[in-house]
Amino acid sequence: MDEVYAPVARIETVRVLLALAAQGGWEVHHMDVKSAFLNGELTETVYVQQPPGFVVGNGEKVLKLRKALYGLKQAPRAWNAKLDRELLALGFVRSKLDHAVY
Amino acid sequence: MGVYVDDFIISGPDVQDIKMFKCEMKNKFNMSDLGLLSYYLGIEVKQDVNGITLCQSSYATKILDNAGMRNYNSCETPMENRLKLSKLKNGEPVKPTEYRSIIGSLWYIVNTRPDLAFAVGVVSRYMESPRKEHWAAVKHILRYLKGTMGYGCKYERGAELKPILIGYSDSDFVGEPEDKEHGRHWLFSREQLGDLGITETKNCCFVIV
Repeated sequence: MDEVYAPVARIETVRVLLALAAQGGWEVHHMDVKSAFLNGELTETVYVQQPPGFVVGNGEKVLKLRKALYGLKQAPRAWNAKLDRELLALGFVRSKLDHAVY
Repeated sequence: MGVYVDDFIISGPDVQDIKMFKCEMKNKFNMSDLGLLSYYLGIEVKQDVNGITLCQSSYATKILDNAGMRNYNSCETPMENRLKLSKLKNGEPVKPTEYRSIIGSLWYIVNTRPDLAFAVGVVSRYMESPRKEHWAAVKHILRYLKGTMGYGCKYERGAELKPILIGYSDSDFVGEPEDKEHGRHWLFSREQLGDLGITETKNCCFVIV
């Protein structure tokens, strides 16, 4: 079976983090990734039909995806895996209790 | 740091570290820097010198609008005192989908409103076939919400980091007309209960202060 699960931070965890920050008087910053899912690298082979407006030749051939697209069931997990690798490379450690906390 | 798909919240004692991390992330991904956290998953976050407050007043407004109760009068409590509701199928049925949908929204607002937790828990018991009396109890919660939209959680800066567990217990002596059980009261932390070696969760209410 395909692996499609991707962790997200539990709301309780978010509250704990904010309580901790308040306690220490720390600033809490916010960032978001634009078109996050496009960053995911696919581990499975996925082919797509040529999308309208991007047809090459007579349109009979299909395209092989190298990276994830929105709408793919693998997309959230592929993005999360990519993010996880990058954060670990920066020296972060993933929380055992909530996999969306580093 | 916490991640919600593509939304990051970043904190730590050193602002320079936060800035450095942001730069590193901007090098790796196409990021937008939203500065100090002010809104996350529908929760309004206010940061000031005294600490951090969380509130969901705009979400509360949305719930009231969905229920068509924007202009209703507010009331003082989330539930009527000693309210007894019944699962028995008497009384006029109400639209189950609407009932469940509003309760779903109320559960989300409980994130920053523990004062609503008990009342929302009570009305949740009747989701299977909600009747007029249950809907009246939901409306009661909504009217309370209407008068308390600015309520939320406040985390104070520098408060002593000593988690003190205070327990209260209460029983309403066969308060459930149908199943002849004693009142099952709210508890906020099962883990602590486990730590204390308590496995019986009935008739207890624990609050972490």
